[in-house]
Amino acid sequence: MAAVNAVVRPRSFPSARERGSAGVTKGGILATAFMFVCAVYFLLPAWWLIVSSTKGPSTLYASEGFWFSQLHLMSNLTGLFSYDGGIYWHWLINTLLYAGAGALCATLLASAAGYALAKYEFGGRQLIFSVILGGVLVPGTALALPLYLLMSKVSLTNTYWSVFLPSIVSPFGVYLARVYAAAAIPDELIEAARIDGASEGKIFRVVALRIMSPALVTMFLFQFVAIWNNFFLPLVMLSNTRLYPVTLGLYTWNNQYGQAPQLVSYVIIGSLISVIPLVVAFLSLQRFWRSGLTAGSVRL
Amino acid sequence: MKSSLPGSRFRGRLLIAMGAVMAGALALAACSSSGGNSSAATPASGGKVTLTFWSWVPGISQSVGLWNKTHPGIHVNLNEVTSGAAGTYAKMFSALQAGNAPDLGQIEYATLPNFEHVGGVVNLAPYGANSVKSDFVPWTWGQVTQGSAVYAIPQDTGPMGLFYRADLFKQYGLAVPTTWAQYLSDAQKLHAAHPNAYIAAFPANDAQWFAGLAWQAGAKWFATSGDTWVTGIDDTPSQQVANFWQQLIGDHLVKVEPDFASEWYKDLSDGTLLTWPTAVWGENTLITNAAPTKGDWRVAPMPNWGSTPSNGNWGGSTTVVFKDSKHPAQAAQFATWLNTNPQSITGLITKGGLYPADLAGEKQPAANSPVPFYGGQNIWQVFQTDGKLVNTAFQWGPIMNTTFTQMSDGFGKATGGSETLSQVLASTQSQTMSTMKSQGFSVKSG
Amino acid sequence: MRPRRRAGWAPVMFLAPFGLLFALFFLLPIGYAIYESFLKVHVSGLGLGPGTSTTVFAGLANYGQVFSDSSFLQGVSRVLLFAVVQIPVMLLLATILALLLDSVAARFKRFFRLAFFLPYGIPGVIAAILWSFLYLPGLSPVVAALHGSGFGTVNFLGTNSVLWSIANIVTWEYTGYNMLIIYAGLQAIPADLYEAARLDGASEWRVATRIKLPLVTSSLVLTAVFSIIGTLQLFSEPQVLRAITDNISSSYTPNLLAYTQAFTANNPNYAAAIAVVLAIGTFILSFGFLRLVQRRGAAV
Repeated sequence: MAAVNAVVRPRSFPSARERGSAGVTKGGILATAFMFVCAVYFLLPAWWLIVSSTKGPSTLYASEGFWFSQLHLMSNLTGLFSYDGGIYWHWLINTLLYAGAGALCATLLASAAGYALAKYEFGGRQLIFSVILGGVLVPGTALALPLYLLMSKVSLTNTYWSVFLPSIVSPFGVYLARVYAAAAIPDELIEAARIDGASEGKIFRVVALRIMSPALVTMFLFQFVAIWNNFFLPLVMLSNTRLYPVTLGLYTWNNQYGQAPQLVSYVIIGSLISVIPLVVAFLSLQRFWRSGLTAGSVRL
Repeated sequence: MKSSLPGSRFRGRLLIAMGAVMAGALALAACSSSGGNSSAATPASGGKVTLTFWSWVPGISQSVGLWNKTHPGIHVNLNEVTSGAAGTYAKMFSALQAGNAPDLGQIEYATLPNFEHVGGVVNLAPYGANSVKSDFVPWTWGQVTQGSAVYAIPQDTGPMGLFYRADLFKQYGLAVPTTWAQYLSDAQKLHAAHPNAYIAAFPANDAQWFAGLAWQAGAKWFATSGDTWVTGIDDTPSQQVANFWQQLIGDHLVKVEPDFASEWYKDLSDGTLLTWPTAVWGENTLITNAAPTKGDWRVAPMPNWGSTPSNGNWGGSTTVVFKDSKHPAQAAQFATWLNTNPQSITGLITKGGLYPADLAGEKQPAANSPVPFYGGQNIWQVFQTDGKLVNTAFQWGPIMNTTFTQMSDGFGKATGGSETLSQVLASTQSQTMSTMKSQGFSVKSG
Repeated sequence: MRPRRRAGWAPVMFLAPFGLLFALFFLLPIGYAIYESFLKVHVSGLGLGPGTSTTVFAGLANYGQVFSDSSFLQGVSRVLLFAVVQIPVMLLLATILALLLDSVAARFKRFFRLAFFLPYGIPGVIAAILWSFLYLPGLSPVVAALHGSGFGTVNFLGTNSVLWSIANIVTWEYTGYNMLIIYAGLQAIPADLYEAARLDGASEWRVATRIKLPLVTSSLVLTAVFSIIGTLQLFSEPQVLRAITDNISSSYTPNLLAYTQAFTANNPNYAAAIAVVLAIGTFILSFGFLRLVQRRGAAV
């Protein structure tokens, strides 16, 4: 089945170097300086976060904000992970479940749907796609409240499902998948596979998914961040603190300083630790998703 | 090779993989959601009952632990939540809507009618609540009853007093005020000499605090006349309080900032704020959050408006049984024990900083001895005497949560300069009335 | 395009999982919200105790209330003002940075790309918590630094300034993300397009404005639509900042009002009406914006 195994890659994009000579020019220095100022703006709060994570509650107020003082890093860490019976671990694991497993399921579902919309002719295809696209334009927070009321009728609120299930629906993922599948998967390849006797499912699995992999990574990352970022949905659905994602947990602590002043330090170092997985995910997967984004934006 | 029919053998690894992921998630969810909120059904053996209880009283775990040790058949799981106004009331309301509220919860007197209105709390009279009626300060019992129904067990009271930095008062040559007029002159003298210090904070977000002050001045915000509610949020005593604080705000004699926030704790610790008119339970707040000022604070009776001393109440909570509880009898038993048992009350006083509503509890040594943080002053005496001055006829309305929100929103605008506190009272009055009318209440102003 | 085969069951199977969940978690809540918005609670007697409140049909009463509610209207105008200022500023900055990164003149591009994108990896709630520390006069090194440089005590949380402090958080968070979308669009432009222009002696500036910008319009439109949708739903940042300032009311944005009405004021019917109005409004605005851009694009 040689035809099936031939993988088509999207055309590669020219690098900056291919497009012109680089050299030190006055414009270049200005541009670099401006970008440097912007970089300071974007990085400064992250730096403050790192520095403050090493400070205990009392030194936080007393010391110079942008530089280190007495190091309380170990006590902050141990305190963070042991407070309230180690609830921070639960929050981290919950977040990985909601965002990681959620984005994975969302990507699978959306890629299948997008592939179907792109590569098959059937009645109502455009209508279905328009409806799904409309879903992209509807604010998620407008859905959370009625969703909460609905789920309370079937007693599903305050469970993992109440946050997980709505998170695996990704209309934007379907849009990306459809666009990418239409652009990158040649009909001839599918036909050839069919002639070779492959089932539709196998074609999807072996041919389509492989070709769509940059788009899949984009969809995964997009939904991962969207779920990680989603504050309103868990806020509305959950009241058992053991089910909270880490954003909701830290928000709760942020409102409880009166009951436990040391929470200030835990909120800060907890924030730092909670963003590390996201940053790592982005850094390691960035070359995949940039090309996926290109296809999506060009087709809008 | 013949081409296979489309659709056959479709159930490929894709669907299996998806199913596996979801099954895994389900399994993890099942394993980890053991800390759920609904009261568990009694297991086949032993007949042990498990109850969940939401409270934000610091250190109440001690009393709960004591109950669990002495009552092996009824186990109470404590959820330490953030304070009601900071979000737990919202969670309680939504849990009631969803039908999975905990068995027990802490609810302040002010918000209790709101919960009665939504039918969220169980009448405890059938479970023998009336037998402990005489254990409690009479006016608190009045707050938890409607006719013959008893909707909560009183836990503590919040008579107000003036916490002040005795060391700084001495240093700056200020007299401890006995009237609000003296308070004002102290404020002016302080700020003139020390522009970075303020007599107090004005927390626009805390309408309940303001309610306590209005209470002291003799306000009557709500009353019932037959089946009609009578609202008077902008009555004369309330206006008097509003105008007083408006002057303080306008002359920059008070610092406008939210209370129970990190900036406010810092200001209490470093001498930016010199007094805090607050309820008795505030003594614990200072101990927890203003540790550097140990030994500097003292308590005096609240300044008065006229020659007749009076006092207001801020906060004070009750323990309720929510309507979704599957074991209301046992829950009622726990609620009663928590608030009448002497050892439990000792824990509430020492760890939670509460002043008990239980009459015998008031006499406990824990509530009658010197407190080291306050330089050895027996602060309880102030509240005991002043507590008797609280006007017991003050009543709360049926949608207090909404009223408080409307008021704090208005205060926020007022401290921004676009209206006066007095105007906020008037607009809250009209807003509350219109909200109540639109919900079908019969309401008139008075 | 060659005609495709008769579709058969395959597309249905691909679409079904997504479609079912989409119907359950997008379409159904919208329908339910509309249903709930036609009801209201009616009270008999004093309204205390069980059985005194009943839910009755209210017709359009809730919607009438929404449009005559001054706090809702103020929230809407506030959010629109926010959008009209913050979105163009953010997209302008994102475009400039994207162009700079794409130009031949600038150096250290990998580093800058990462630096600009980092804030997107920090969830909105955490970013708001972070910045809330940076806005606190007693704690923030930024306030201290401004004070030291002679700007006096800057109040980031004042009645009028707090809206722009929120705008700052949103800009900080999403500029990098938008920049990346535009940058991806720029990378898709074939190099020969500007080679010709450069050979003709066009300056970098001309290349940027005459060639690059028009070709990334679609990326810009994508970012603008997402920004509009996000801004109209503004919730997390004001909600977090409520803990440190009195100047954010419970109805500061329409979403905050809906949340307060549902969970503090116990008025889920009114909250549902607000959610429906908000969803329809967002849909109209974003869809209208898309149509407007497409029509102008076609005219050119």
